Amino acid sequence: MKNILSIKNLRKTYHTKNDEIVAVENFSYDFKEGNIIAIVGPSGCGKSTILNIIGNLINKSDGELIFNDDCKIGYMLQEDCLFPFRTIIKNCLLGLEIKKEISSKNINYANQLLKKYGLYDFKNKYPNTLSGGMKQRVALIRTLVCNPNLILLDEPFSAIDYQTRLLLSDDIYKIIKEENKTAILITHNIEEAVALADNIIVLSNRPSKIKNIYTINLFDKSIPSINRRDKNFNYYCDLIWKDIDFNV
Amino acid sequence: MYSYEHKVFIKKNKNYKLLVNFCQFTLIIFFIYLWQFLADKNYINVFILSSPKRIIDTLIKLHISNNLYHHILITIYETMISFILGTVIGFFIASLLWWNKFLFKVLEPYLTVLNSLPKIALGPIIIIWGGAGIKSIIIMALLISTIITIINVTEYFNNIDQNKLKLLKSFNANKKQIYFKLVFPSAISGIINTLKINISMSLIGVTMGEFLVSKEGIGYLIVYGSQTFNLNLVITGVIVLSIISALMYYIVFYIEKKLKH
Ligand SMILES: Nc1ncnc2c1ncn2[C@@H]1O[C@H](COP(=O)(O)OP(=O)(O)O)[C@@H](O)[C@H]1O
Ligand SMILES: [Mg+2]
Repeated sequence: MKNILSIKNLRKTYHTKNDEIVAVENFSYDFKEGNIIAIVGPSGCGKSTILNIIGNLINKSDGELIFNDDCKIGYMLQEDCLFPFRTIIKNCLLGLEIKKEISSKNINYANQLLKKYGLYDFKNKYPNTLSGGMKQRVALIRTLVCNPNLILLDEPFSAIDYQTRLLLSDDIYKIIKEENKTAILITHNIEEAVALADNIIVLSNRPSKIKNIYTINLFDKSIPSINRRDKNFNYYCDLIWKDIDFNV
Repeated sequence: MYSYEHKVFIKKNKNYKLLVNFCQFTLIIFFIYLWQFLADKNYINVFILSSPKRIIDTLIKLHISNNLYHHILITIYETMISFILGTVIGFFIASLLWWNKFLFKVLEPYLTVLNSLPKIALGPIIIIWGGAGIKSIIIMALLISTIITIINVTEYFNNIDQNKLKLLKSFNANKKQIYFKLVFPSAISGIINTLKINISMSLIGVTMGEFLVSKEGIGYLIVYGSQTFNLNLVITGVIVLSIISALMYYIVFYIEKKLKH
């Protein structure tokens, strides 16, 4: 399999008035196309920092990022970030509008996704009429309509309830696999990482270095909700749990 | 169909509202009645404190001499001009300050000083600049409403949700797109508060301007009344002014209600 992205010796130092914080140090990893790679680690260790650098939202201090030529990034944030003054469909098309890629084909795709997620009837409504899970789905559609092949997910489920969370992870998993996309998932939930990911990177405390890398081999790899019942599931959870230095 | 319990709840709510309205109405009637009563019995000096009957007489006189509506219209006209200009100019400058953070940092202390400066102190200068006419009045009102708009709108612009900004940046949005897709529309939905403040600021500014220079308008009536020791005219002017400001407030309130649906 090709690499969609290779990171070599990444370092990020934040400079503030009274301090200098090394958030990431010596981070190297090859992201394989078609995989779901989860990054787990204690909170504040620098996970979002890595994702923001990949998404070109902040500058790196040092190191190298080599993207595959046809790499198109889509970013899904922790909050849904829907614009309250835009209708649902208009929210879905925001990214396309900004990239000036509005076309009837793309609009069709957005409508198709809205139907698939049971949001079509709310198309012309405003976000304040939706539940948290629905909003997060709209955010997912907004990311997908731009047709990215590398999707960055920064704790995309942390703001929603457990039930919706399981359903959404199944959905996201299916989309990523069906459409042969690559995803980098940040989470502090170990079970979620094991259920979704092909590879898991465990980070140490700040400045985050790679502590361990796992390839998840389940007996019968399927959608996340079924993976959770796999025999090997708990084995990996335990392993990773012991790896993380939870600073209590 | 609603349950009996719900109907009782609605009814209670309605009765409560009715009671509030009733008390509001009674209060003003009682106040007017008391005022007239004290005046009739000579407990108060009508020469200084006027009385409801005298105010009505004054209104009728103004109505007959056909002056009342002229003065009201002049004041409303000046207020609307300053309100609209102040809002537009204020919004425009706030946008510039959002666009250029450096400019904002440089000008911030000056804005704060200008905002806290009592604008009436500039009156004499404004008269020299703008002459003794409508121009000076509008400058005075603009000074007040524009600066407060700049400060409010800038505050609004600078408090845009960082995550939404991040989202737009993840789509590689440029500054112009960020302004038109997020910053401006968010501020528009919050603008109504600025409008509410602005309309009263404009009226305050116009009245101050009319005190200073004018030959027409409600502010002028009040000043003229005090110069000729006609306290009936002064108090009538104040009452007309409060009716105008209440009307303007309710118009903005009505627009707000419309916008929210
Ligand atoms: N803009 C910034 N300026 C200074 N320090 C920052 C900034 N962003 C993040 N940090 C610091 O860098 C560290 C890593 O942050 P982050 O990547 O958000 O952690 P995580 O996502 O793993 O919880 C934290 O200690 C945080 O305080
Ligand atoms: Mg984070």
